[in-house]
Amino acid sequence: MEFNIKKGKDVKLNVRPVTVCVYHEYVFEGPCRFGTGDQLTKEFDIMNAHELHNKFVENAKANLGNLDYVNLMDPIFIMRDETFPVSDADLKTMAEDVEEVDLYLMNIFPFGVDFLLEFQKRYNKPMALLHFGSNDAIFVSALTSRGYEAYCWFNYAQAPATLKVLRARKVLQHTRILAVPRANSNISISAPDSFYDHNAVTKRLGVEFCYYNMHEFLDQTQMVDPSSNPTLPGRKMDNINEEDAKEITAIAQKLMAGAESVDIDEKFVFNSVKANYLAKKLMAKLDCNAFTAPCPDMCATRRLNEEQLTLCLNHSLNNECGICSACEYDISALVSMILLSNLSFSAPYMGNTSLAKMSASDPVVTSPLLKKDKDGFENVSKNLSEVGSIGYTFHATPNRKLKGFDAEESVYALRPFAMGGRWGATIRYDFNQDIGQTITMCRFDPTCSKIFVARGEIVAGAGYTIDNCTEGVYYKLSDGKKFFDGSLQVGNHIPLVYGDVYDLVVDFGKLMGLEVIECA
Amino acid sequence: MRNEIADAEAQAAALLDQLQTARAFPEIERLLRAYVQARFFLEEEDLALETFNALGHMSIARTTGMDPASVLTADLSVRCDSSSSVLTKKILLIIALNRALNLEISPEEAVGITTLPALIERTARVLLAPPC
Repeated sequence: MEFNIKKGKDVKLNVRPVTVCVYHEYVFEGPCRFGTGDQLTKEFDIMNAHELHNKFVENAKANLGNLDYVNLMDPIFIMRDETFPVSDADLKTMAEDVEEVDLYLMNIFPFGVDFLLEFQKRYNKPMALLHFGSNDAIFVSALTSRGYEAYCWFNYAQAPATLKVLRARKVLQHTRILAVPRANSNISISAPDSFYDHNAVTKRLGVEFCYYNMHEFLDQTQMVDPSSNPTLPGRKMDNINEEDAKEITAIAQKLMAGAESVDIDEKFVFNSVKANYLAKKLMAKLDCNAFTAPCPDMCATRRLNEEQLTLCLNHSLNNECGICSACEYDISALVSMILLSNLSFSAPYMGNTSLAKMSASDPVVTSPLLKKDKDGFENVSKNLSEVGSIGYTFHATPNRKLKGFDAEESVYALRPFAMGGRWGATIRYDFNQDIGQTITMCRFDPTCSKIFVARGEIVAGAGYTIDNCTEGVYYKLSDGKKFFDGSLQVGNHIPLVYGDVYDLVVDFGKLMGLEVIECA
Repeated sequence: MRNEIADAEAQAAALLDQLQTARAFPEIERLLRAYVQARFFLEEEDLALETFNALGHMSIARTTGMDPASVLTADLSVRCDSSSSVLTKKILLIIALNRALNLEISPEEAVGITTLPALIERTARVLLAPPC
């Protein structure tokens, strides 16, 4: 079944090209009117205006029309005479479908900022202009000094950076998180470093929240009469049914067939896929497009042990199809993943993050869980013995689309989370194959007023061949102390994506009025 | 050079007069090609360039003595609306034809006429139209 979930990766930025120009009713020369003969006629001006508007639109189509994440809207053409009128009619013409427009791409000649200022008073929309003589400085300074958003690109090569950041903002504004708490709907036992004021997050970023009781969620993983759930007696809910089970079986079998190695029973893969299927079912029903649940809080109820599932595979499968999904009810991490993923157009990865080595002479210090991969840890210690500023991230939630949503699915294995019971399917990914890959990491702080961003280069992987929460990646940083200090301000889980979107994260932070803590 | 330009302008005016009474497509085509050649100060072989963009660049090259390849970066337009000299030439051409031959090419339509053959077709459509 294809769930109708509005994924962030499918969001497009609506860009409207607009020309606002002047024609002269009368033939005259002066300080701002040049030409001879017919060049000074109204006839000439109007024909010229049409040609320039057409050239502008053709250039916009040639440079922006082939960007997957941009929807170039039908252009608008406004001509006014040399009395420079700012009429309601023209303002209304430019405001056609204004609520759909994310960015106006302007073409103004020879004047027009006066018109735009009136438009902005009514509609307050982001605008961009290509560099042209004096116009660009007038445009940007006049608009931004009055509190309006204005961008100027020296040429179209600069446009994608602006467009991607604006699109990421739009994605966050269209995000609704299905948050499945146990007790505290703000923070969990294991992630008190997450956002503690969700209203502030909504106000600053536009992210919305839909809270859903975890017991009601787990009840619906049961294939029973949907009106018989103990948490909602008599109310017909969305329990997994027989039709769902057939699909879940097919998904589980496909996952196992495609894996390089499988070290878990099909029934436990089924259980984990079942949780993901229910999560997607509920996200579709509740118009949500992101997910989080507090695994340690849930674990403590013993219900995950009873159900013999964890949510690790759920997060992996969600992330790789563009539905960002975070462990431990860490909403700061989740929103960071949404940002990163929608700047890089690839699936994000999150986990416990810390510093393994500050200076080259330090020994490698990691979580004991990463040392369980004895061979892996020995290799890391040996190969990185003379390298400093090494960080690491680990959680059993990698996915097969780290290299891009459009990339081929990566090679993976399937192993259990639970060491004793051998349940809780996890995807295993060998980060060692990506040594040298640049990554970008970021995380919002608990107040949603700061964002930490760092760049790294993968130097080793861990945990591919073993089970439990031992899957991870090591990366070289430019400055271990800066990374360490930055992470202390924002929190534990610092998600990452493949690719260098560092500058875009910085631009986003500045756009949203966040304090940007950098580790370039 | 000034004399040559004056001669070309006179020639162009004479060709425009002839166009007003032309009533067969081959004649219209011949006269309009000659008119553009004169007006743009081109050599006959330059007309093979066809697009007004290329014809305009060559025109500027011929009248200034510049290398055609340098014309692109050395636009001589005196307007501050980013309109180029090449574009000005095309517009003035269409205005002259509109006035002399009542072609009624609108600004919207003019944008789509980007080649000499297209202009010839459009002109012939009016000149060869049966009287109302």
